Amino acid sequence: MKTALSLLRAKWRALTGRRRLDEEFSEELAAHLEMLAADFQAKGMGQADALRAARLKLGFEESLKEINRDQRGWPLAESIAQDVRYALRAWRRNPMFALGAILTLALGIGANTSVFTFLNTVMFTGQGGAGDGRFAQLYPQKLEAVPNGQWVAAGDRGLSYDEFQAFQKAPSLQSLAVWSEWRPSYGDGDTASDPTRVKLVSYGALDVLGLKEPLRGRWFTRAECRPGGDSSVVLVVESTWRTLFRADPRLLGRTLRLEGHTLTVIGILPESFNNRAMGRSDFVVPVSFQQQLGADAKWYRDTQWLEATGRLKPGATRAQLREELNALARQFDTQNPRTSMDVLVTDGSMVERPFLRPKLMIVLPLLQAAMGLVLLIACSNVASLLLSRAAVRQREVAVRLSLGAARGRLFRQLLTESLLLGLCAGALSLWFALRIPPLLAIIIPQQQRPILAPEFQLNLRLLGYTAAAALLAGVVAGLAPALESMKLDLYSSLKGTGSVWSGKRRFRSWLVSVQVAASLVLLLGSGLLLRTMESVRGVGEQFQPETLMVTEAWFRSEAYDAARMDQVAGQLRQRIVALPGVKAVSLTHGLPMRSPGKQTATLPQGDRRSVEARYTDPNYFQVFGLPLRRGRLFTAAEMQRAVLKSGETAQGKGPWPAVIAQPAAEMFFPGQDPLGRAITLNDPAGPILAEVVGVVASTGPIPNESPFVLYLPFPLRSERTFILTRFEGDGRVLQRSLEDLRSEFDPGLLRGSQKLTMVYEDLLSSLKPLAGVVAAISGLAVLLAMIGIYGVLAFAVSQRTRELGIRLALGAKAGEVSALMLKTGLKPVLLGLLGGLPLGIVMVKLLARFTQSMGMGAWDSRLYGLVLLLLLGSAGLSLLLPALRAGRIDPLRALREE
Amino acid sequence: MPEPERLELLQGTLDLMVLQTLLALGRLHGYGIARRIEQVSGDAILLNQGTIYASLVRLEQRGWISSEWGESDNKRKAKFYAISDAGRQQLASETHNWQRLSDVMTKLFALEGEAPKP
Repeated sequence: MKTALSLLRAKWRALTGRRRLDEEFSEELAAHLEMLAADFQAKGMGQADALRAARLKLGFEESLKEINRDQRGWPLAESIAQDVRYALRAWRRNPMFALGAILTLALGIGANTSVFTFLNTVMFTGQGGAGDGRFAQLYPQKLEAVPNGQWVAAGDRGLSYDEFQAFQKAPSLQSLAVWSEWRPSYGDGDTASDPTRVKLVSYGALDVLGLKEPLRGRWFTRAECRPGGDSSVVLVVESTWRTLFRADPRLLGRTLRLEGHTLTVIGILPESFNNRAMGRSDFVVPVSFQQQLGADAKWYRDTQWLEATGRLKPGATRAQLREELNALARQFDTQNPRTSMDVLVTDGSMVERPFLRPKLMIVLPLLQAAMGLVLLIACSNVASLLLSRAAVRQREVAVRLSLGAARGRLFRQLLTESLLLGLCAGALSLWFALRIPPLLAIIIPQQQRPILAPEFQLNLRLLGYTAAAALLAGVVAGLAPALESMKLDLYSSLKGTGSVWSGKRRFRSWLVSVQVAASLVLLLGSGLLLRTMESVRGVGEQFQPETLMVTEAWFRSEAYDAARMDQVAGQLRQRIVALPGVKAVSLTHGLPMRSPGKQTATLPQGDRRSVEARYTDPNYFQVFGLPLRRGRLFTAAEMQRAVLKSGETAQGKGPWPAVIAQPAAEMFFPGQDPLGRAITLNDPAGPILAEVVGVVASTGPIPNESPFVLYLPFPLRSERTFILTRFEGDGRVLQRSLEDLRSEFDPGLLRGSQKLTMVYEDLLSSLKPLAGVVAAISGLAVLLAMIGIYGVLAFAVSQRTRELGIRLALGAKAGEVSALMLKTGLKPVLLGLLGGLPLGIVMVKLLARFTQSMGMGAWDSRLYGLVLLLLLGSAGLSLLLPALRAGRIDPLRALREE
Repeated sequence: MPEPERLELLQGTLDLMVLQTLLALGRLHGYGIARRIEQVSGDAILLNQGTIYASLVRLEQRGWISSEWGESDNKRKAKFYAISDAGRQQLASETHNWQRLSDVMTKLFALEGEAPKP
């Protein structure tokens, strides 16, 4: 220990007092030499001989000094410092080279770090709370029993109040909060203003979010939150308090009106109450407020309307909590033996959301790979830059080697330089990493932006990632050129006849191929996403989506049996048809592209065919403009029969009338009259018998949906329903009228209304961000590759000036020389395309798993055609300039030089 | 003139020699140490005398010897080295190690001598 300390002190002194220690040692050696020489003289040698003998015996002075310096100091660190100084000197001599290399690498690393920062903040960050990682987001999953005795997941569900109370007993929980949202308008009769966001929350919400108390006033009491408690109290969230109430401090204790309900303001909540799990709120009321919206005891017991988040006790884990919750959930299984529940527990980050996770698990690795490709392209550009400089400095390297520089040392020096390039670029890319993500954030819907992408900050994860990318880039860019530099023929290099040896030229064209291949993969990826968006829009256009309003309605099975549903649906239809501008209204179970009902049907001969089953009413055909070709549509009596009484099933009540699309009629019953023929739909719950009563025109082809559509009378299926309204005139007026209708019916029955256009845009919203990011990345990649392609040919032309000059002098035409160079330059590009294609296809196939549901398969000739054309075009463009220059070489000058 | 065969120095041996020399002779300059080692070994080892300085730096940095500038016998300014307490301890333990190693080696060589005998 003492030894180590003493050593450290000495090493430090060696670092600081370098010059003094050098001088002292010189003096010490001088003294030694003198004494040694004196001894030799004493033995009878002459003065000069004695001095020479002494020198011999002492050893070569300079090397002794070197050894001494190494021994006392940091030989490795010092030689690295020397390499760094050497590199910096070279950059000063050739600043354009350094600038170009650093900028290129910084673009590559910057693309990586900015996408990483974005994903890290938006996707991987959990709900902060107090930042202690104890936040737990609950995702109750519905499980259904399928015939073979297994449970299958059937999507997200909510919690009932009873379940919430049971779950509160989980030992790992410090607190549990449930919430629901209500969207009333603020004040009375002011329908013009946007609806506000009111959260109905349970007592634990404050603690779950890691807040101690409201900004002002008080939090709810437990009694207020319990069903039956005094629920006419409200807290206002800070931003709403500032905008709507101009931060009036006297708001506390006053009352405010929310769509006919009077509430007393008891507090102001800080802005941090808005969070990832619950989203934004304007007002917060106790969960017991639902009784003012019509909930009774049965509602609290049965309705699954609550979402839940919790806060773990210190030391408890999410896995523990999940086990406890699922044990508690078993007590509810007795109520309905065919359904059960699995509660997932996550940290609330986007990637962990159950319905997003499978998609993200495809997309995120692909995105990561895309970023890696961009970096690879940037690296190969710099590698090619370093190589051309190595060719220019060939002479210098040869001289140093012949003077005895160790190859290893020289190699280290070259690698040090490229690492230095990488690190400079890394530092620069941190600037990008914090500037670009806010631009990317545009793809997040405005309201969620402050919550999902609050601020992009420098953190350890980002720094580590950048450092790793920078080092990797430095090594990848520098390794090959450094190795190539070592392999040189000293003799011909020194003589000055060696031009760039062929091995190196081949290596550089390899780099071009790699760049082209990487760009191809990236372009195919972004192209696929863009083509998907295009095709979704194209399909939507055929339905004149600008005049078709889609309203979602949820007939919850707890509250609606078939008869009541039919009754309410009838009322809805009547009310909507009466609205101004409405031409037709249809209630349907599915929409083209929205809820695909892919099933199989058995034909009379026993053939099984894939069909698209759609449960709807006769108005559907009018709304979508599908004329009847043969037979008839459903009658009112048939629609009435489809309203099942309790105990009845669709299977037991057949046969049902079926209307089929024209292609189905042609395909299933070629040359025959389809009317009156039997079709059996193979429903998961059992075969449904149907008899064809009519044939309608087909919609245009809808990707990923069978053209063989089988329409059955509507209420055979329930719960989620679409109300389609074909209208003329201003969509916003109709939207507002539909909005007003909501308060006339049960809360939660009617959801938002959108034009069909918006429905498709909505479908695309998950794709848009990805497509945007990937398109930007691949644009950058192509740009970098173009620079690389240009650079390599330009350098080749400059290296072959003499040869080309001779050709021209011997009578070759300028065009021929240009064509020769163009061919030289194009060869690695074509090789790259060829090599990149299989990779690209693999990637497109992976990505197509994601775009498939939007109707974009992996084999799209337009995609491949356009991408290949684009790449060839940009490669040709970047080759043009150096090729033309090759034709314009002045033979006389070319021959005179060198 | 045939070059007399010289011993290769084992790693760390020189350090030990320097320490022992300083312990035996007290304060000494680099030349003195080198000469002393030459004398003792009867020219069987050495070495450019200069190599001794690497050893001196190593020992001083670890605090086992100390140095100061002084005057040599013929009034020349020279750097003098002396062993420190830590150096004595180090030397003692190294000597012990050396003895053990040497014992083991001796036994091993003895073993080899016996083996060929019937």
